[in-house]
Amino acid sequence: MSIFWLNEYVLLKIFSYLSDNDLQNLVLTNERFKEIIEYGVYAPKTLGLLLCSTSKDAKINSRNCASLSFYDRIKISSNWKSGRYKETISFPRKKLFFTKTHLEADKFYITNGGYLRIYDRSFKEPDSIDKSEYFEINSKTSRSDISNFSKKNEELFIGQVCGNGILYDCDSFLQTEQKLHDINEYLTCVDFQDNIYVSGSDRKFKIWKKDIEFDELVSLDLQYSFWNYFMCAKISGGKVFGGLYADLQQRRALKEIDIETGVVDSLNCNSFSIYDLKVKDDNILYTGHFDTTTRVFDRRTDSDEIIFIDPFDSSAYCIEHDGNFALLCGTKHHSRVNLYDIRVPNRVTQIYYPGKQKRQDSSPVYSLCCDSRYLFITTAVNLRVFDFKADWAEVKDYSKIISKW
Amino acid sequence: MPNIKLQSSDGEIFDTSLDIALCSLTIKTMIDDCGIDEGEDTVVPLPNVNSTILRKVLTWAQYHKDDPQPTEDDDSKEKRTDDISSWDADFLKVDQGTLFELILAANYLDIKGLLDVTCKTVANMIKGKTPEEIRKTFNIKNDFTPAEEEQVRKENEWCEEK
Repeated sequence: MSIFWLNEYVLLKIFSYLSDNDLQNLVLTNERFKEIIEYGVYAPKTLGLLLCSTSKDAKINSRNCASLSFYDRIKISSNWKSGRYKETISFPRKKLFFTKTHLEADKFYITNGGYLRIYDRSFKEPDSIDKSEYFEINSKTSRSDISNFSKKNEELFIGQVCGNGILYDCDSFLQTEQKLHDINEYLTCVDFQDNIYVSGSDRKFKIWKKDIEFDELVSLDLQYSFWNYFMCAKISGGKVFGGLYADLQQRRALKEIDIETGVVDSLNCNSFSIYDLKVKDDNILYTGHFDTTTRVFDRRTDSDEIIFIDPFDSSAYCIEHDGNFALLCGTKHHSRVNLYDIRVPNRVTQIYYPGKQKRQDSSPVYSLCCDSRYLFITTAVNLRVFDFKADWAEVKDYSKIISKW
Repeated sequence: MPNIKLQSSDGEIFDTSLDIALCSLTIKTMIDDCGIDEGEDTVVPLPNVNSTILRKVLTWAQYHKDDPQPTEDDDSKEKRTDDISSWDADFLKVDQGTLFELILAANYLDIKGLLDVTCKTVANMIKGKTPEEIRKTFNIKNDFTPAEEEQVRKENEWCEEK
């Protein structure tokens, strides 16, 4: 009688007494053990993991550049939590600029000055970005800097500081430019979904509708224009959600605009300035605030369900999330990034400090993106990439310092 | 205490005291559900357990009949394997085949204490061993092709700096 006569239930019971190392040794012995351990022991553990979840809600998986085994996920997630990573410095720049980044499974988008560059991702590089080649998009009409962009499906919508908008189709390479805001305005945010486009500057916020004639002539027709200064705006489910730069009187900086009617509603979020906003789904909004908080707003209850306060009193400059439980917040000082677990209120799960470099000791995080394995932090002069698939790396655990307070 | 008759898969009848038989939740459920009364000459058939194993199980149950009933939330406790009593350790000094059959019998008869201790014994046979040693211990064939083995090894060995 062989051990394989035992049914799965008792095998899993036996495995429950084993350490991680013992389980790994078993995985290496035989196909059947490998299968039982992966699907019986590892897989159930991966569902609730921060940043590495296999849950269908975890949209972060669409950004992963290679598939991760269940075991990888468990290890990487525990490295995120304990602060074990390898740091790489990329894209050093002499001139300070507020670079924006965007991450996809096989592409990395980064702006600098007036251009946006698209790099392939590759595992051969420590920061997963193959810098040997890139594709560049820039304006044909204006040398103004790019302040924001949005990428969906195969389309790019790029906003330049001067108010110029660039529509770029990555399939057909068709590039269209249009003046969206006056030259004396400073463009802050852009977003689009299907044929609805939005752009915001320090004076006006505009909703546009895309019109295509003769298959090639693309133009944006103005639908609505508002006298508001939005720092950030996202479209989701027929609404535009935006964060005002300053609403000192009413302290209702979070706005909802109905795209059909153009009606602006104030959401019940007590804040006078919002720096960044991300939409988790049609009901949940993540917001980063000037007042050092990172919040989870629920439209069904019309209130902030969770409010995380930065332990070091820095404003939240940008936020990122995994679609599931993890919420990352880039702060104003020291290029510091906080990791929050929305199941654990009032606590910072981990804090990441990029290694010190004299010139930029106190740079804010200008842009933040991540997949399950990598974290990309944009500082004033370079890009810091943290690789969490590094079991040998030194642990930089700052969460314990905080919990002592 | 009244007695009860248990029949093993190979037809042998075991005349057992009821309190020993009731260690098995499976037998307990059968008795409860079928409403077997005292003194009745009913035989409980156990088609999944042969006489050799049933005898061992009953020996174990006889020794442990006064143990407190293990509770379900024991599962949340830390998983230890070094808490096997010396009597159990001696009792389980059997060949692997018998040990596995005991596990299956404990599982079928739903005797938590016996299942725990037998599973711990097997876990102890795995602990601290290399894959090759584990294969030898259980006489397992390595069914990975060299390429697959390399792949599995790669997947799991990312602890080193590149």
